[in-house]
Amino acid sequence: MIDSGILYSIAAGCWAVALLIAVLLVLLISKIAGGKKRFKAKGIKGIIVFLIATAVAGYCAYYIYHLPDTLYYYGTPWAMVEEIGPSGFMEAVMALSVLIGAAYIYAMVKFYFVKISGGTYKER
Amino acid sequence: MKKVVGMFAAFALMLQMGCGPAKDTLAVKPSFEEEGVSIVDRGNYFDVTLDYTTGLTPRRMGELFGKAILQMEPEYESLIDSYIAENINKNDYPGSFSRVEDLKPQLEQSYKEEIEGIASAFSGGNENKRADGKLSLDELYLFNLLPDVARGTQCSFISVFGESSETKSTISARILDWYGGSKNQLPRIQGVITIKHPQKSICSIGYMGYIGIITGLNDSKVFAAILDSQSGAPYSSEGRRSYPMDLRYALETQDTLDSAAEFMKEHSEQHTINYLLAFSDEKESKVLENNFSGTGTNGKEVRCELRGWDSKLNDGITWEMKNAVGSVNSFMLYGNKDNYSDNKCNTKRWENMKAELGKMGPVVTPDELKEVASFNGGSPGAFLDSGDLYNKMTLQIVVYQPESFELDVFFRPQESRKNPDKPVFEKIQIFN
Repeated sequence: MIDSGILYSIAAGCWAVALLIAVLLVLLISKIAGGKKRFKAKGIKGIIVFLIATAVAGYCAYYIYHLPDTLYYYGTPWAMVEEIGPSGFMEAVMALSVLIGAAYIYAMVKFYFVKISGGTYKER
Repeated sequence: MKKVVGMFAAFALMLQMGCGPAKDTLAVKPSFEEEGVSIVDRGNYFDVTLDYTTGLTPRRMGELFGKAILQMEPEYESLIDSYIAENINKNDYPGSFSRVEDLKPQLEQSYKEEIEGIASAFSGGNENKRADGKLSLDELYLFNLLPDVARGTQCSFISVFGESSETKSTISARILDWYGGSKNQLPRIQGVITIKHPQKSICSIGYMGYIGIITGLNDSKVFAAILDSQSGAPYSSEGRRSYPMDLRYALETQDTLDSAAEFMKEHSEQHTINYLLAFSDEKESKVLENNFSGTGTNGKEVRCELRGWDSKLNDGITWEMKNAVGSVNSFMLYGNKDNYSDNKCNTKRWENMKAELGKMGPVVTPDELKEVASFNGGSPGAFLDSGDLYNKMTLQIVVYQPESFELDVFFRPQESRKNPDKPVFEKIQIFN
């Protein structure tokens, strides 16, 4: 059985990193709103990066969704895990999901919105 | 901006709908009474009577029971069908029926007829299709043999008697920690089922359509309940018997704790899994430790023995209180397999049970025993590691005094999967 202390530590770590990413994301969005960055598709490279990033995030989401199978037996419902425990498991999963989501969004925004060189987007 | 706010509001509304009560609390459910079968909706549980003194055959009894169940809970089939699907995955689903087939021949003929009668009221027929919303005959058998085929009953038991009881007679508390289903399926069909025979009557605190004994008692003041105790022994169902069905038979035919325990011991090696049975009568309580297929400790191999308050326990396990017994999901008798020490789920509950019982002093009242059975650290925690006797998995707490037939039961609310911080007990009239 996974120790609850470890699970709560994982949850706390994930929330801390997710919070940091959220702050960076707000700063990034404020730059976009201020016209300092603009969207750039980046052609074929942009498509490949999008596909790979989405596949990685999707795999992580799939793995998280099937965590009860790993913890107990194939097909264990989440509702059962919630009741049986261990305590902190749901908190850890929630924090991990938020972290992966936040990291995905940040990576995409960061990659596709590039700094405008030589004046604002409107000026050009 | 308004559109975005509107979308969020619509999404929040959808979420609310999804998280709403599992049961339409406004629905009015009538009582059912026909020939020897009656069901009364008591709000949070169903009060069922199956009266064989009317001369009904088991088959007819089953037919009427099935009809009554559907009248009282029209969604019964989909509830049980989805419950089975949640407990048995699609890979194991076909194989579980072969286990059922192994167990069937050893079932009492009258029990088979009851099950077949109940199934005749349902729409599944003979087609076994997982999660189709219908209940077939085999699926009803599977539901009735779930503890033998899929196991998974976790529980606790505490009892005081003699000088340790305020009434000088036995007070027993049994906590049923069982997965109730994501839609609260089991609480929605929970019931007190009285089966009246010309010679003897029994009462099962269980679930409509489940005819074995999870927790039960008879009018000879014998109380019995099943508890799981996994030993890691290989599983076999070939030629085996169902232990909750045998326990029903024991309650239907035996007059004393010892004879009921003896009956179970006689068949102990024919069951599919190792388990514990908590027994009480008006004078005492004991726990039958059945480890027929497992190994032992201390150079001994205890196979199937009764544990009393003064029994010698395995190294490292202590029990200080006189005239009181307790049990979690492990063997404890000296020489029996030690499936206790390395299992935090058991050690924590055992230690909390002892500590809470110790706080009550040398003499325990029924209310104090309820308090012990309701122990949690503020709110019910996760079953595995909280150490709470009353935890997130608790579906029932049964407090019973055999001498006076006083029965108090906490049933998980039908409309919510979340257990309240403090369980509310209902007084239940039996054998009226």
